[in-house]
Amino acid sequence: MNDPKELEKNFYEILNVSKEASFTDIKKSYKTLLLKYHPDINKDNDSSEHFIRITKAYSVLKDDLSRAEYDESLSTSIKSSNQTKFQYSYHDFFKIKDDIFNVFKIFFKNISGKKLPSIRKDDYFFWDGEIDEGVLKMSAKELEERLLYSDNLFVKINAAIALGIKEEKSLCGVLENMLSDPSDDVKKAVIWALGNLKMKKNVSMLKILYENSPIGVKIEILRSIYKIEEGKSTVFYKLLTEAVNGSNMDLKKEALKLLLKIDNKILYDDVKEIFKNGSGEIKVLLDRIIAENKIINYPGRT
Amino acid sequence: MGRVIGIDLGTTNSAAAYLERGQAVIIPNSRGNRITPSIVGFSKKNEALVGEAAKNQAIINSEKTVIGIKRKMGEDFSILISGKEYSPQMISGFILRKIKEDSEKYFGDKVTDAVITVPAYFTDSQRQATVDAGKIAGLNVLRIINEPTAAALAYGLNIEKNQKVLVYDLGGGTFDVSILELDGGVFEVISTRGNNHLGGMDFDDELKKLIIKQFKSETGIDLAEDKLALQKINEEVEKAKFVLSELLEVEINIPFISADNTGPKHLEFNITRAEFELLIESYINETIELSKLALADAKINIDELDRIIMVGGSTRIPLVIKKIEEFTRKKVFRGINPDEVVAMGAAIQSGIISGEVSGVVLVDITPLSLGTEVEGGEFIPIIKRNTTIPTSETKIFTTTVDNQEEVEIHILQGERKIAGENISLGNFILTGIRKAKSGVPRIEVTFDIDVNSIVHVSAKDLDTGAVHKIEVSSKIGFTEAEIDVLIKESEKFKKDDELKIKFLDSKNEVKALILKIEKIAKERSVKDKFNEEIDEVILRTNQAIDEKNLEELNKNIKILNDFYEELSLSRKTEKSNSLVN
Repeated sequence: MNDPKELEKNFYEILNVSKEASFTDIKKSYKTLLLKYHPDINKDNDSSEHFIRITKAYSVLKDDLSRAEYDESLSTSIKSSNQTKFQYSYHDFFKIKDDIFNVFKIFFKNISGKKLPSIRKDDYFFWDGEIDEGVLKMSAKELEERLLYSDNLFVKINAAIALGIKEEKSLCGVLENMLSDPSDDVKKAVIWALGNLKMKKNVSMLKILYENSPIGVKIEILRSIYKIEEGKSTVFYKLLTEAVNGSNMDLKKEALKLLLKIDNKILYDDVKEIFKNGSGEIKVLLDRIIAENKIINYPGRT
Repeated sequence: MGRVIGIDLGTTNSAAAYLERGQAVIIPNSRGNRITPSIVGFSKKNEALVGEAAKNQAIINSEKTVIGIKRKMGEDFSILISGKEYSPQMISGFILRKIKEDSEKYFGDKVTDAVITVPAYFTDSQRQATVDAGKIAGLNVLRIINEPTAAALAYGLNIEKNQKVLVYDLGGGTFDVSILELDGGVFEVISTRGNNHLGGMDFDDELKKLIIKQFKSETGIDLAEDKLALQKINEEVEKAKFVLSELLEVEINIPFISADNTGPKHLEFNITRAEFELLIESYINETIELSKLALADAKINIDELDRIIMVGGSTRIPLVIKKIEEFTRKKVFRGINPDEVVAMGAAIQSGIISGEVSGVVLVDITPLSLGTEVEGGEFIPIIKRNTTIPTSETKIFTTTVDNQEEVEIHILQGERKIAGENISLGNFILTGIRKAKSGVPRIEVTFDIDVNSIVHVSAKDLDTGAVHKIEVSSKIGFTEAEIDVLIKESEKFKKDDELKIKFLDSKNEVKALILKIEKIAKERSVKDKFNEEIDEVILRTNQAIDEKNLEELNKNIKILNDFYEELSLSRKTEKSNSLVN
């Protein structure tokens, strides 16, 4: 495969220079040969072998010391090792990084810092957290992203509430989907927000959810349906009376509270009816709620 | 053969270029951008999204989004997404396929071949992995070339004068420094140094760590546990880093990044350029140290350097420029966009190989010593680093015990004396050695490093003449057969995706159409034959959707469209009639 004549050539012959050639001459010839024999340019099968011989010869002759050694080996006809003798110790310079955190301070603060009492929880708002202007200024899309994808329950809850405050009707569908969230707290916030959207189509969905929900969620559903229907539907009334006559005290109280707010004629009469003919327990409850909430106008007031 | 392109497959961004009348030209992607984010995401339906599309959905789909895969190339690593394992080669393959397809759209012509760039300090396994990624993307990888060398090509084509050049390449994930000599069309690399895990991503991480730490001390909330918050921080940190290259201070505001039982929490963070520089200074110092070593390897004095070429997005950082200018006592040389210069160099290299560019040749070196492990766990280098490639060395091995019939050769890359501290490329076992006293058999092992810096090993028993040829590909590599399967899979994947997307488009279109028709139909006062006809077509359409029959679906869309037009017209006349009445 190799031309025997080629193999017998010494480094000077390979590089096409005389033994007396200066480094500059050697280098010049070397570069010319590179351009001629590099496998990128020379597509002959043996160009690679040829190229390797050239680079090896040059790696020895380019250095004064290894060239002198080679010259000596040539004169004594001993085959030379063509390896260069240079070797550098490996410096392990990867320093351990300083604890840069101690060097300077950076501060965080609330963006607006302002609290907005006007939009702070209404009577039915179960949540203690405070939502500020910074959050309300955010786009529906940003809030949606947080509601859907955050790992943090508090983020989800606040996002739902913010959407409710902003009455983002366009995201009604997203909120509806979130009713299946595994967390009851998130569910409550979503129900609250849906109440704020005041879209009638959500009533039947909330009613279905009501059936199998824990008390806390049920209370939130009653409040939301109240907001949507403003107390004017028979569905709502049915749920309330069921709750009033049910066994859970919290739900009972809530239902009564809502009943007291109803201004609808028919329901008004029903509340009156409770005052007149309801069980003693319910009457006591009603009185307490009226007193606690300082309600002045209520149906059945005598 | 179709078109040939040059590809800079970067850690954070990739770019492509081609040669037009001897000039390298950047190929914009399908969105018209000159760089494409090296990000791959998988949708719910397991469709691969690449580039901007993947970046845009990263925030809501972080679990199925892969960023910075280049840092894992050549490692025994896989990512599990929706029950399917993806190797770094496969993920990079998605990026390369996207670049290939975008280029094909741009040319209106097939792209078959590519020159792909890698960091100069990439090992054999990392290069092999890059070749495999190209193959998976359906590309014939014409050549793997080093990024700094490619950059020098792009900068140096028109230079007459002999020059010594330092290329400082600090990208998103890797750092390389190369010393080159440009002389009469020969671009000769003299020395190279680098760190495959040092880059802009590290600067982002430092900034992120600081933000998270401070937020925790302020609010008690650990954002490191919150994927959505982390994604938001990632985005802002990258932007802030860019701003700090221009301005002396930056403010990061992320409203409502978290919340606790007291309500939503906002993040506001100020950092000055000086503070940022403190964060990253140790990294920059490391690059300067490596540059010093590269110069020492090249046996060149700082004053002999003619030019300092800056490559990679991170070289926009003022501290980087300041440090390198202090060190070299020279102004750095800029001119070509540091994000694009590497791809342009790759395009020029494709021209050198094809013969379109003449009188120019790139002569590169191997960045790492190649050798074997010998008795006692010592590493014996056989090809020293900074050796010009292609190259070849031969060594005679023998047995260590009497009647030994097998010799195991462990091949490694690196500079450490202890074999275990270097990078293992693989083992191969030479069998069928003639039984003899220890030290008698002579086995000649040839180590070749080809022009792509990829290692090949072959062995020959000098007594029996038995020849073994071994392609060094470590356990993480793919066999040709495996690659074939992956290519077919990725092609099928693409075809299926196209059909699926078309079907979804049609489905959405028809659903909207049906809604509109039903609305108008309901308004119509008369229930007539026309209404029945419509109902029937709608029924057929829904059937086609259930059966996923795209052809039938499209046929019905046409009919429904006609109905809709007719209905809209009749509605208009009805309305105008009622006005008259």
